[in-house]
Amino acid sequence: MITRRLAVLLAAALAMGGCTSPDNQAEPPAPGSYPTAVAKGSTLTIYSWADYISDENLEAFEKATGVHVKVDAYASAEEAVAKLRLTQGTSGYDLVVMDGSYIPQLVQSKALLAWDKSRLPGLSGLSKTFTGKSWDPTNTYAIPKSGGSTGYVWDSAVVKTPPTDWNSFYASFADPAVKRRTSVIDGAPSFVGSYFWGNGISDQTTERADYVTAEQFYTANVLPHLKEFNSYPRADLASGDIVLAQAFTGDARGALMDGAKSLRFALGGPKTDLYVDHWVLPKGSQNIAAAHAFVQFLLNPENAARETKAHGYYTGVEASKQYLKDLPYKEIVFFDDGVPPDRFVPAEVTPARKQAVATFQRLKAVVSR
Amino acid sequence: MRSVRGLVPSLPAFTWLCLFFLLPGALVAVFSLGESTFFGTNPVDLSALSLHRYGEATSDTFRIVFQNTLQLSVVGTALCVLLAVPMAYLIATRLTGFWKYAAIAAVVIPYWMPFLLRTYSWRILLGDHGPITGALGVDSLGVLDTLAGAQLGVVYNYLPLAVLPIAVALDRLDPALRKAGRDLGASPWRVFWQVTLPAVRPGVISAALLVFIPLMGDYVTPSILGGVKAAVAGQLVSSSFLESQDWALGAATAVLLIGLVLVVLGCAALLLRLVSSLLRVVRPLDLTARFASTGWGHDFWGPGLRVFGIALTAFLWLPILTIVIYSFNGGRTLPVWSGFSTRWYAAVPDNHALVSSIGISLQVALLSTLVAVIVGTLAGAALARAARPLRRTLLGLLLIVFITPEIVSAIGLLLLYVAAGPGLSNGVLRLVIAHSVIAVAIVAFVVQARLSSLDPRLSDAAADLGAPPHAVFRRITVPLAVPAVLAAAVLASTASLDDVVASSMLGNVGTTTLPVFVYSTVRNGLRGDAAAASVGVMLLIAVAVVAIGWVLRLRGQSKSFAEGLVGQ
Repeated sequence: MITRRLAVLLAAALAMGGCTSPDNQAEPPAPGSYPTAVAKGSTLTIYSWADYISDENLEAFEKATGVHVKVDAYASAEEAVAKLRLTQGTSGYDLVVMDGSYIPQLVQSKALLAWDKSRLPGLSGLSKTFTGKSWDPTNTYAIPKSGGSTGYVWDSAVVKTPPTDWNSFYASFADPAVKRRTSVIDGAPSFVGSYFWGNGISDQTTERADYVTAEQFYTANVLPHLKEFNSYPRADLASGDIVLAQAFTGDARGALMDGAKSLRFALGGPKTDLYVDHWVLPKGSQNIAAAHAFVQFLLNPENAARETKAHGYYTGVEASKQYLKDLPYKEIVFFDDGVPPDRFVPAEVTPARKQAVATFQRLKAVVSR
Repeated sequence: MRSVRGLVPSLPAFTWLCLFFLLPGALVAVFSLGESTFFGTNPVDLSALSLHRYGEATSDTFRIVFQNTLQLSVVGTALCVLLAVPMAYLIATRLTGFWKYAAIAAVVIPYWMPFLLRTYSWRILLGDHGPITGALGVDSLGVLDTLAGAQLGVVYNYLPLAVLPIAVALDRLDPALRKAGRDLGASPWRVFWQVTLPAVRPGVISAALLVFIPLMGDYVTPSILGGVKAAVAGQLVSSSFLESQDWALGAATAVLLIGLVLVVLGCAALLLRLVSSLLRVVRPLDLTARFASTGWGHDFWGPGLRVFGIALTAFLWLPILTIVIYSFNGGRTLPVWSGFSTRWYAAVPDNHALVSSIGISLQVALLSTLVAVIVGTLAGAALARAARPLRRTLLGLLLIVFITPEIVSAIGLLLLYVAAGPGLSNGVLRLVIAHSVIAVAIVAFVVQARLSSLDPRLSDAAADLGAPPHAVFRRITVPLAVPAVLAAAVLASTASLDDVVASSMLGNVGTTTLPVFVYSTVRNGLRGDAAAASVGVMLLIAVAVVAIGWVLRLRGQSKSFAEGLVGQ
């Protein structure tokens, strides 16, 4: 038995080493050929972040269709990417929530199926902020679920000059009143990227010199005043332990809701990123009909509004706003309102990621000594 | 006759670990010779093998974070052992009856609270606006987001891994021996040196291994409590695999880290030998004999130890009680108090994903502990008794299992599962296998700590009297090992209940575990329902263990479960 397993493993290793395994050569089915009937009593398995789909919507969908929905959680999008890339259609999930930046990789590794857009009439109601982005210009494989951007939160009782762009935000780190109560996002694309957004450099640059200047800038101006790398500083901002932080819109809104009334938020400038979680159909999806029905269900404006109420992120369904007039801090939720579209740089994963991560790791090492 | 002594008990461990660790792990190690590709079906291109990734891995960044990690781990291990020895000594030799069980429970129960919550709890406690600064009337404690914070976190999280092995090793120390020593006129110091220390030694070595090795890989504890001071090696490996998706570099960094940890362990073993031979020459007993009779009655130690025990228990329970209190926080964000409410407890049953994750976690913890106890106990017996070459090979394998960063074994296992197809597609089975691999190592080290502190002549005598090897194992080795097996089972179950990386990577439909769920909610803000559910799980397990002990006791199969744990 061990020898047989060994042979299988060896085959797997060879497959990974460049020889394509036969599975990948099979053409995926055409979207028009997908089954259309949503089977009552069937199960729809979803892979997502925890608490990221409204419980109310799940129940309503189950009631309306008779489909049982089962949601599993991943600990990071990257783990889900690795899993979808490796399992090649055997992941067992019917529908997956995936960060836009990873879509090109998954498409190229043939891990995704195309959507039958004729079954998603709600697509036309989606904001241009979310659709047609570089990760999937035709939204063939990825249907926007919800998204946000990155900016800064500060306590206006402490930081007297509101940051207007990334450079003035980082300049405030040296303000003696702040006293190292600062935090930046614990991720290379957000932290290293913000230097590029602030200085008119492409965040996918592969010029070594760009990373060297970014590193010098942070080493001189930010690291000496930095307390923590924290992707979700919400609680620390709300408690008052941190008074100046780089933050994602959803997390920033949470901080403002729970924290001192003097907390403020602004979108990063002159440019900042755009991240959008999408619905994708993994290869091997067993309940394609229900997956389409569920996504269309969430594109309905009223249901989309329920999503935003549950997790605090904009779904891109423009008509949902009419149901969200009383939403607290809705200017953060609808972060793109009145903002020129070119302010947002869609978050991408290209070979530049390697340089960004190496720079980030080096900065983390330097500040730790 | 004896040429293959210990082969049979070590076989299950060899088979299990080769199949589910060595093979998949080696596959990932091979990636270190290739080049990562962002696009296409293969994460790593192995068409042109080279050592370039090793050149890239031995960067200044690695040197700095390795130094950080080593410092954090050495100091953390030393502190854990220093705190654990008196606690274990108290449990094994001073406490009896109810208090003994209570002390064990006090050490163990906190670790059934999910890792992320019990670590995060220190942020609430030590924050500038937390309860302690309020009580002391100071602005800041200056601990959070510093090296001291990271150090505190690791000591807290790894303490039971030190206490239990030492307690089960110490426990074979017959109190009559120490008493005899005293009656024969030996000073307390001499009794400690010649009677207590030899008994505690295997436990301390096991404890040090069990704390030091996972510490070299842990990056979550330092990153939660150490702020910018927390750059450690495990994080570097994980970020290569995940954030930059550079599996080749991640694999090279992991191999480098494994090699260096083995070198550090080798140096530690050498140092230990050196110190032992030095002590034989210096004869510290004769030096201390002059100070021996300063007139401290041994009553000084009794109350002192008890005070220490109470203080340590308070340290272990402070974060747990904090989570319990905050689970009654009515606010949306767990750490921001906004008034007492039971709403999150009421909300748990409605959160289907959360409820299902509890069931999965308990199931996986139970089954993986069971596998680990069977395979690991046999391996522990082999470690203590087998012929030297066999013992060394097994020890090497177990050490590598334990040292390998979890992300590496998880990716390797995922490759194996994919290759195996439908045979290994059951999600619970996948998680049980993954969790049991680490747990086998834990169980083996704890069992070995006890068995090697026992007199080997016992089993030899049985064999000489004509008992076949399996009878010797069943009637001599197993009963002697029982307390260690129970302690090891407790540690294995906590390891399973803490696991995030492998569980997230290897589970499939319907197998999200509680720690993965809790970890995943951080993105949208840690909520009260996750804390409420975790408090419930911790209490449930504690009650179940006590109930099992009660039933066993009623049925008279064991004098008492807890007695078994400490081996009375």
